[in-house]
Amino acid sequence: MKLEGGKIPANQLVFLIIGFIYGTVVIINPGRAAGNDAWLAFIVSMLVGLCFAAIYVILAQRFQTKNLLEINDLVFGPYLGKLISLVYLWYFFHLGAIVLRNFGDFLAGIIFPETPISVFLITMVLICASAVRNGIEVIGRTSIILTIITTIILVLTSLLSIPLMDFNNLLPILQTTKLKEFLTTVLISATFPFGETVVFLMIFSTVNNPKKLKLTTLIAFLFGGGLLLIQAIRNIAVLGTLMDIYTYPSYTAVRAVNIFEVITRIEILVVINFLTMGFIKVTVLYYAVSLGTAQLLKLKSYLPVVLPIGILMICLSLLQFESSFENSYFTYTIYPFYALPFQIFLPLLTLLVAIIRGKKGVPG
Amino acid sequence: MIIVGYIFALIGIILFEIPTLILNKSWWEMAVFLGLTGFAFLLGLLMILQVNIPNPVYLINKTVEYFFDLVPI
Repeated sequence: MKLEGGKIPANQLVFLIIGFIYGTVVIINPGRAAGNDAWLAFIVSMLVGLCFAAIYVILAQRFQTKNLLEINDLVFGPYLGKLISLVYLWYFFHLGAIVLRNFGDFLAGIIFPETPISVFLITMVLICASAVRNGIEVIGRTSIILTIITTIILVLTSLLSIPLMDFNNLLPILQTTKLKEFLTTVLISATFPFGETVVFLMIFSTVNNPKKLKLTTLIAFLFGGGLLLIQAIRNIAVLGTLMDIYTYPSYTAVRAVNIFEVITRIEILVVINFLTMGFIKVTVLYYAVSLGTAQLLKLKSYLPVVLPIGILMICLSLLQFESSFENSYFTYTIYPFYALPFQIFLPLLTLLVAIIRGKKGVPG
Repeated sequence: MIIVGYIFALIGIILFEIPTLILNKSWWEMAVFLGLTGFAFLLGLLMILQVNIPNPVYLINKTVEYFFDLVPI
């Protein structure tokens, strides 16, 4: 039984992964612990992330037409497989709720302080629900337009920030940061955003040319990582050591741009980036949860579960943190360790068990 | 007022989804939809009424912090 009949070409997958990687990192800085070495930590974490991605791609290519839930059923059997699938679905659902909350915290805390956070969450979920109901092909096509716009905005804001940049802020390299802080940053950045691409195990099966998965993922990781690197260098060069004290450094860095008193207050461009990339990230996670739930409950279509899951996602995102500080504590301290089993241990275990048991997907 | 709006939203969602399910005679899909929507509605209602609901993230925090204590990093 196939719930999703849509297929996406490899180039759309590239944009989808780039948008997903860039998603929340547009405003939140996972490299804050490493201070001025954050850019270096990003490069290392991208390499670690590529190792994670290699496991996902090998797994996806081994079971070409199967998604994560079908792979679990094949490898672990129907009962244990379903239990593991349920755990994954929780993770995707929770991650969606966290991204949604980051989105709400940013808009309600910085841009519209008088508006209740629930307004932003409901609006975002309604838009994402519409995309999810339209299927993976629509999500893929949307991602091309949005990712291109985001890239242009990032390059533009970085170029306009050049007069404010002091590249001495990038120095000294690896002298002020302790090894522990550096490794912590690498772990945080590897799990958030690179490791989160584990959700694409639900989407790889819809790519019309699975042989291109390796190249596609590599290009997407390098490009997405490149965008993060540009952003990190811009933020460090503009804000220097102050970067660590801001919750949203990109927003603060771009806010300072002032070209002859003519081009000012362009921080709204960062907000546009966050809206578009946040949309892609929430949509991909929302789609994975909806599709997975329908598959687990043996439904004929995933459409009936889309809206209820959206309501539950809003409820969880409101319930989980009492303030943005709690959100920050969870993101930087708890999340990397919470996410590791889903991002590396379980996929690695699945791959090892599949190899040992000689399980393979039948192409078709 | 919020509760009235919330109930109207729920009715809107049901009216949006149910006719197609009935026309297609998708009874299992309808049962799942009503079950999930009912649960989501109840959760949302309790949150609007500011009833204390157990927070799953609290459990996650405690579990990870427990491992931090076991393995000092």
